[in-house]
Amino acid sequence: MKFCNVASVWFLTCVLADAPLARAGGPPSGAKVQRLDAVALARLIDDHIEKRLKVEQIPRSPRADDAEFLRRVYLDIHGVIPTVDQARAFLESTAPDRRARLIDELLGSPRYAAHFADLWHNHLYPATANQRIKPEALVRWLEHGFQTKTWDRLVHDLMTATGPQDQNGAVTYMLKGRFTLSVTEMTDLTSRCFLGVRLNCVQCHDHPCASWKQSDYWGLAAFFTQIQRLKPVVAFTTITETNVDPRKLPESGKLREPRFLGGEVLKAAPGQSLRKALADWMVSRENPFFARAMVNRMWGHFFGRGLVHPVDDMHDGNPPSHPELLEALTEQFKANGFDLKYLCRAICQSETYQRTSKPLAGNAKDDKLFSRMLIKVLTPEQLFDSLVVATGQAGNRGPSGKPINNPRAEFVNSFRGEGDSDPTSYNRGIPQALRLMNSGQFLGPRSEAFVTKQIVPPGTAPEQAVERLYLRVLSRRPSADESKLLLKYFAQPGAERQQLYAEIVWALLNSSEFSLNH
Amino acid sequence: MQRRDFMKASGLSLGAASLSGWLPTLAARAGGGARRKSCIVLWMTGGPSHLDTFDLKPDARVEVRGEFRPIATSVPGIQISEHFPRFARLLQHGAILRGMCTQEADHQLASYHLHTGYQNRAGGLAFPALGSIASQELGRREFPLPSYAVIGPGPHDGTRAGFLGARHQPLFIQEPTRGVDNLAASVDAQRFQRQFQLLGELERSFYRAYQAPASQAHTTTLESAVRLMQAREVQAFELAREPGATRDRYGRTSFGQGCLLARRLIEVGVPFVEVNMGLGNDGWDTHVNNFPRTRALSAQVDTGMSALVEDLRDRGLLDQTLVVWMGEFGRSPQITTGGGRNHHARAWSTVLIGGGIRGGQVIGRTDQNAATVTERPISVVDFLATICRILGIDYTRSNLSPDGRPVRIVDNRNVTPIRELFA
Repeated sequence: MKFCNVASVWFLTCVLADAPLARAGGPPSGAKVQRLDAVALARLIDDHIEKRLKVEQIPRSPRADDAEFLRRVYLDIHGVIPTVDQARAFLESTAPDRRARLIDELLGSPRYAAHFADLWHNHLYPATANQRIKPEALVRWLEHGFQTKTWDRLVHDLMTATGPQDQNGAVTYMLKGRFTLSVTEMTDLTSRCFLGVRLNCVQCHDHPCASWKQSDYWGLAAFFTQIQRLKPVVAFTTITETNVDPRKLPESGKLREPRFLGGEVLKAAPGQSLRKALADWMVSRENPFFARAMVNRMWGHFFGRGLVHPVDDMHDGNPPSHPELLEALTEQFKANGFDLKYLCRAICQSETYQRTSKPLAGNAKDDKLFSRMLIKVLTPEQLFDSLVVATGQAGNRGPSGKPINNPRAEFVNSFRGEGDSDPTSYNRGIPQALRLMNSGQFLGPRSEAFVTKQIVPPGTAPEQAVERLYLRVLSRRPSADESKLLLKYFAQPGAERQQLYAEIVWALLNSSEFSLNH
Repeated sequence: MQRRDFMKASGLSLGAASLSGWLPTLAARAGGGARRKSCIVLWMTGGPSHLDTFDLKPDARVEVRGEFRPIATSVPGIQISEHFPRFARLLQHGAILRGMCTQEADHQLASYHLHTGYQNRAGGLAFPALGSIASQELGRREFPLPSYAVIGPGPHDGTRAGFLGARHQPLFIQEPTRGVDNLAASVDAQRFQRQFQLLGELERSFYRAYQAPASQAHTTTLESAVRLMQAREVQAFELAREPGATRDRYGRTSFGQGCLLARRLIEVGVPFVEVNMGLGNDGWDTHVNNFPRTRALSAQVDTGMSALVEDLRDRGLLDQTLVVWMGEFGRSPQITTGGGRNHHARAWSTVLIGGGIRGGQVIGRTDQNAATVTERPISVVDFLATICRILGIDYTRSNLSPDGRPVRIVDNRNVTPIRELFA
């Protein structure tokens, strides 16, 4: 929700069925699922994807070369391009299992947790930064969470958080500025992020999700009625719980029993924490939404498109492209204890993930069946961090040349598009293009000196220089054609070599290839 | 200006430095004979209360009618809120549409619907905003500024080019007094041209191999940015060129100066400009404190909008410039315990001014509480088709979506443009 969103009850006519429960499928609870390791799950992914491509007679693009894989897996797991040393080490390796080793290495680094904290911060804290305060507390909390917790634990802790914001950053999830999120905002956000269900549709009367009922919405909303902010607010906001009649919904004034989505009414004992009851239900193995929603989101993160797309709109009218695969992934995610790294490892080890994004004549039109990798646009955070790696500067001067306090936050804010958009769609506009080309934030007036010092030392042969520039910015070696093009570029009359290097860096940094994750 | 001299001296022209010579060139649409029309939308983010602006109900009970009194306008028989005294004298140019009747009561969904004419279906087609359609239909290909500009802060929901692509994406100007940053290159002209040409080579070869729509959009955006760097028309962004008295007349608020910037952009040839106001806790989303907030916002609108209309009139531009005052919905008749009003989409008001319409009229009517429309309901498609007709856009035409299906500019199966405006 962008801003205060109080549902007028009389608009709630969209209806929901108990169908998602039936539809969620999978083996009936209690059935034994054979646990697969990451490698086996990767094979399973490939089998399902390939079976479908065969049926549809769509050819698959070949395996990506090492450089394409390297940059992609760094951006997807660490949120940043590799340094020159990291790139060289991988590209020079001849170990047959070098890809699997790189995946493990990346997942073992704290950068993994930092990147996923960035991503989830944006899901949980939609682009209304101006109405929110101290969001860093949540980012730090998430970072710690991704580092140390399984998904069920992380979400359970988030949902049940209480205390002052400086001691428990998770309470930020319930805040909007110095106030708490409204009950409807909590309901929309929680169902979208953790259950993969959009419920704001119940505000309109002709949404195709014909299955949800108004009572489902308010039944879920009732779980959030105990959240309270401690007054007076001093430096940090404190979240606590009340034990007033929990069923009273402030927006509608309606009384409603808490009811699990698509499930039963909770007979709450006096003083019982409703949020804890909800969190227990969410993360249980029997929950039909929770694991499935995260598996789909993770798939969407790595492939640019969910098995159900958009990733947070799972309902009967929007079936998965590969239903059996989605169920298998869900079951394995549960069987492996909601271990996120396990899921990442399996996805990244699949041939499906390791395919090139270059289309073939026969699959250029396919953007749903994963016959090639889809090209994603770097998020503002990925772009900033990659610019820092490529140029070696933190860019702590803003577009106006004035020093800024938190350059990354300022940059991210000015590149931020609308909400959670499709990762493959390009949302930047002219102001962002002008800023990258002209602001000098990363490649300032002393760019020649920087290039000489950091990338191409004096006396480097031209062929060598081209290779160093490419490795530095694009994390790959130039093709023969590219070398030829750049050697010709060096031959321009009246230009100093160092200037030309700086111009090449400028062109590489402003290229599609740098801005995209291909 | 130093920057422009540099561009001129460099001879940097798109012809020479075009990045996307490989893109299929759209044939420029043949222009009509008469001067093309323009449109300025004053977008009230959050949904202004119709009961407290243009559809007052002085005879309703106190929990509904609120605190404001109606006042007479320049048109006998038409009354509006007392907090629009200046605009009341201009009503002969405007038509109040009191029968807006729409479906979405969620900010994002409603903003999308009102901007694009289509409801936002998850995973569905990304529909273009009316401004992007105007950019395609009214924009001139050789014109170096974007043909759709959005001024002021906001969530900007629905203001995207969607499947019309990066060429019709709006230029966002967050702060009108600041204009557009980073218009000057950080290297000299010769070097800029050289490196830009190299960038063009890189773009072509990447696209050849990967054929990604995102790459195409990136290239188009780079090109548009460089066209803007070269354009003489960027002077329009420099509000400091206006006399102080003029700037005062618009009000020294972000919205007032946004209205002034909109006029300047229209004058140099931008066909569609949107000015946003009302974001945040003091904005139009008045769930609490509706009356003090609506009073303060109305005062800003009265100043900025009236100055804009007067200015356009005095410059002879009003007949070819349509000004639209609107939000995404109205607000509930029932006043809440916090002195606020909630969202209300079934009955609300918009105002159209200039553009050659027949002014001085109220179209449509609501019941005694302004809760439902009793006469001449106006749907989203009726409304957008009407604007298209005023602007000379054939809304029955279709564009092709990326998967090749024809999509009407306005879905005209059940459309009734508001004929009263064209009489």
